[in-house]
Amino acid sequence: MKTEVDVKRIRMFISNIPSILYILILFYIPIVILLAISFTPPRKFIVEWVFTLENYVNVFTNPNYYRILLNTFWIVIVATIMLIIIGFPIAYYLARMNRRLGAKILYFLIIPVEINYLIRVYAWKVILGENGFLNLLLISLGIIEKPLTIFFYSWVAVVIVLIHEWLPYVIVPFYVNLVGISDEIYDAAMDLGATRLQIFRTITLPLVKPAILTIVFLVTIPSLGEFAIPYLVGGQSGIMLGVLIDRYLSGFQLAIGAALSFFLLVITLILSMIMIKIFGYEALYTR
Amino acid sequence: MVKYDRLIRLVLSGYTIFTIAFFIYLPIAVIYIYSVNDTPYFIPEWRGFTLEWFMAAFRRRDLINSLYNSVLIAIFVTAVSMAIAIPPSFYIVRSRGRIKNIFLLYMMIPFVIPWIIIGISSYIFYWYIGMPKSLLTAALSHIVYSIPLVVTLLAPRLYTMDPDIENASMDLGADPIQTFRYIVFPQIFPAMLSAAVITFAWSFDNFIISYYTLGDELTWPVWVFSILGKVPRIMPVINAVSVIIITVSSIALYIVVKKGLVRLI
Repeated sequence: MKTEVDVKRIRMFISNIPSILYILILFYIPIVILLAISFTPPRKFIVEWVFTLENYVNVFTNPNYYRILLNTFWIVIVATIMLIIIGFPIAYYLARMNRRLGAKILYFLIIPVEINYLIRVYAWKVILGENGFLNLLLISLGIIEKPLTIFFYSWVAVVIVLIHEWLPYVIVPFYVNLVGISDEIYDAAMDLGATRLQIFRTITLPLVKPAILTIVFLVTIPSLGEFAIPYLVGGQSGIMLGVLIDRYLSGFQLAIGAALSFFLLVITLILSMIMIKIFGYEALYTR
Repeated sequence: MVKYDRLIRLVLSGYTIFTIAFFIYLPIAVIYIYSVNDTPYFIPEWRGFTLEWFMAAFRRRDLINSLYNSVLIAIFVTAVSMAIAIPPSFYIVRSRGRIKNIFLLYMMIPFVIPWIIIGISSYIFYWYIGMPKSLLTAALSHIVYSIPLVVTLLAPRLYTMDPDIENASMDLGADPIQTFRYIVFPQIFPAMLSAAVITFAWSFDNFIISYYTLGDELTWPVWVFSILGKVPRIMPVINAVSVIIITVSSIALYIVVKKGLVRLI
C-alpha cells in the first residue's frame, strides 16, 4: 500500500519537473542576473563586474526618483479606489438582476478589452485632448472659453485611461462573488429586521472580500509597472516608475535600470505577501 | 419599502447604462467612427464615409506581418503553457502542507509582479547569455506569465473532480496516459478550453513583455506602439484593423460561449 502511494508521489513529482525547470530557467535565473547587475557601477553600454551599492544609494537619495515613486503610488491608488467605486455598483446591479440578462451585459462589458489598450489610449486623446470632443462640447455650451489642457497630458489622463483599461477586470470578480448571494438571503435578513446598512456590512461586504484580492493582483500590481500609458499621455505630472526604468534601459544603462526594477519587484512582493497574509495561500488560485 | 427599492434599482440601472454607453464604449465608438471617416487626422469633424483605410490596411506588409506574428506567438504560448501547467494545477489542488505552499509560491510569483519585470529580466537574460532576440524569445518570456495564469484558471475547476475515479481507472489496469486520455481529459476539457482562449487573448495583446524581448520582427501591439504618433496618416488604418479585430473576436467569442464550449465566468 505504502509503495503505491510512493509511486504516485514520484509520478506527481516527475510530471511537475517541466514547470519547475521552466520557471527556474526563464524567471528565477534572469531575476538573479538582474539583481547581480544592479550591484555593478552605473556605466553606459557595458557592465563592469565590480560590486557597488551606488545604484541603490541613488535610488534612495535622489529626490527625483522619490517624486516619481510617490507619483506612481498616487496614480495607482487613486485609479484602484476609483475603479472599485465605479465598478462595484455595476457588478451589484448585474448580480441582482435576471441571471441571463446579467451575463449578457457582462459579455458587452468584456468586448472593449479586445482592442489593444494602446489604441484605446489614442482614442481617448480625441475625446480629452486640447482640440478634443470634451473641450468642444464645453466651449459650445459656454462653460469655458479656451480649451482646457488639464486632461492631456497629465496624471489625470493616466488615471482615466487606467480606469478604462481595467474596469472590466474589476466588475467581473465583484460579479462572480456577488452572484452567489441569493435573493432569499437578503429577504430573510430584511424579514428579521436588519437595516440596509447592516445587510450591506454583514452579508455583502464579507462576500466581496476575495474580489478585492483578485483586483489587487489583477489590476493594482500590473499598474505599478505600467509604462506605455504614462509614456503616451502622462506628460510631466503623470510620470511613473515604468517610464523611468524604460528610459534607462533604452539608453542601455542596465545597472540603474536593474536596480529600479528590483526595487519595484520588492515593493510588489511586499504587497503580495500582505495580501497572502490576509487571505491565505488558497487565495492565489481560487476565485 | 417597495418604493424605496424601486428607486435604488432605477438609480443603479441608469448609472450602469450611462457608464457603459458614455465611458466604456466611448473610445470604441471613436475608433469605429474614425475607421470610416474620410480624414487621416483625429479631428472632431465628419468628412464623409470611406472604406479607404480598410483597403490601406491590407496593403501594408508590415502591419499584416505583425498580426501574423502575434497569432503565431499566441498559438505557441497557449499550446506550451497548457501542456506545462496541467500537472502543477493538479498538484496544487490535490496536496496539502508546507511543500505545496512553497511550490505554490514558487509558481505564482511571476503572476503577482508587474509584467515589466518579466520583460526587463528576460531582456537582460537574453543579452547575458548572448541569445539573439526574436519571436521565439518573446514567446518564451510570455510563457513565464502564462503558466501561472493557466494554473489560476484551471485549479478552481479541478476542485470539483473526484480523484477516486482516476484511482478506479488505475486499479482496473489503465496506465497513467490512458487514464489521462479517457478519464481526466474529458472532465477538464471545458476548463482547458476557457483557459486556452484567455491565454491566447492575453498573449496576442501583450505589449510590455514583447516590447523588451522581440527582435526585428514585431507583434501587433509592439508594431502599433512603434508607429503611433510617428507615421502620419497611419491612425485610421490602425482603427480599421481594430474594428476588424473586435468584430471577428466578438463573434467568435459569442459563438463559443453560446455553444457552451467556453465559460467566461
